[in-house]
Amino acid sequence: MIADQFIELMHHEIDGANSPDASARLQAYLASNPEARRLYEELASMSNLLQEVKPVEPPAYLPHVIMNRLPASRYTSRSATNWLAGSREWLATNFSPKYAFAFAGGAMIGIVMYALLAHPALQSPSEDLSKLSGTMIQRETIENFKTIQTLEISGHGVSGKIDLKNTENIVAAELALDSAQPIEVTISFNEKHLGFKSLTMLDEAVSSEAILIPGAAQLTHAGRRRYAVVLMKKDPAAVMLEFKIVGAGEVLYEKSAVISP
Amino acid sequence: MLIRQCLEGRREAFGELIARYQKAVFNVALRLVKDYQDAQDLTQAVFIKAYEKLDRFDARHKFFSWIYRLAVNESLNFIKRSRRFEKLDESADYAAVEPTSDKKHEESEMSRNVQNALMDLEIDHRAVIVLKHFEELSYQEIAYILDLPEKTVKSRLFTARQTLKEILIQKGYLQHDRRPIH
Repeated sequence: MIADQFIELMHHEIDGANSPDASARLQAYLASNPEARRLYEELASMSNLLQEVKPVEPPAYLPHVIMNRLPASRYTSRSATNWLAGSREWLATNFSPKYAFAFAGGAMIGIVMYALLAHPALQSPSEDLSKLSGTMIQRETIENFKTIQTLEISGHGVSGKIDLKNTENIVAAELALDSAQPIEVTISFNEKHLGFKSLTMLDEAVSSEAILIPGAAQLTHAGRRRYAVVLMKKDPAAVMLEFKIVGAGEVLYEKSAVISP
Repeated sequence: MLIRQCLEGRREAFGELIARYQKAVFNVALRLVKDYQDAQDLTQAVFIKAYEKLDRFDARHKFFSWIYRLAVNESLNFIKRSRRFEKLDESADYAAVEPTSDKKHEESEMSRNVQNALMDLEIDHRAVIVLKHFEELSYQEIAYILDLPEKTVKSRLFTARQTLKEILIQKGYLQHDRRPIH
């Protein structure tokens, strides 16, 4: 038989919420009551077990997805608010019909200009940047680029290597990956210096897709495959690429490489 | 500060809030619903709701408590909706669906065992365990998040612990002689 007040003290003890006096009373009680001691040890053991469960890493692209889904104009910037308030005030004190005619005339001209400029014949085809795949550079061409640095990947459920290649205008990362489980590969770069050009499958005739998010390209991989990610240089400065491989919510590999001009 | 910047129209300030709290929100959702993909969807829903309601955020509370509150409510509503759906479709084989939903999310065996035991708890009990043991929140914070008196939080937590302990022992994940089984 365990008194209720001591059961409560046991839970408080596990939560670190007991005063020194309460802790001492509990310890004395546990020493004299084997049944209570057994219950306390089981609860403490369970608490330790729960402590061992580590947080899981969410996918790296999640923040970008959330930002993209936010309502466009939920909150107006202060400057816009001030401008609107100022305009309203000005109109209230200075309104005259001639301004209405001028506004209507301007609006008409605007509509006509918009109709002309928005004509389909004048438009370039729109691009869907959410999924890009590479056909822009022949894979043989990429394979012929000179490798300047190789990053080895080993252990933790993924193995392989990344060959970094560099030309005057292009940086290419040739990835040879071997993983039984699905993994997510993120190649991050500074958009001031580099722009994504293409993702190419080097082994198979099937296409692969990269999700392009600001400053990074991501691909999902499983099995044994080779890819080439090609980036265009925007200026001749040294550039840095960061590689991150996540599987089952855990970071399996993380490395950065600087490529000199 | 960041909240004020968001309300002034600086979306990037909200990006900073996402960066700070997305892992916590994602893990609360994951522990409550178990499924990796559902946890991602819930995390998105929580932050979008937070953004929409940001002008109603009461600055007397901490932002993290508020976002946890949204995360728990969103996850509990999701579980209730899923249950209604399962009841409507009695032919659905839930056990057959489960492994597919876990494909992308492989944790250690010990973590999976604990997660399986958690799923056997009532959702109200699961929520207090998650907030106390995984998020390490105080009774007071949990009371605000679950909108319950602190006394109720304690009694619910104590019952939940007792039940979870029995489940872990029954499933063979915890031994009577105190050692966790890995």
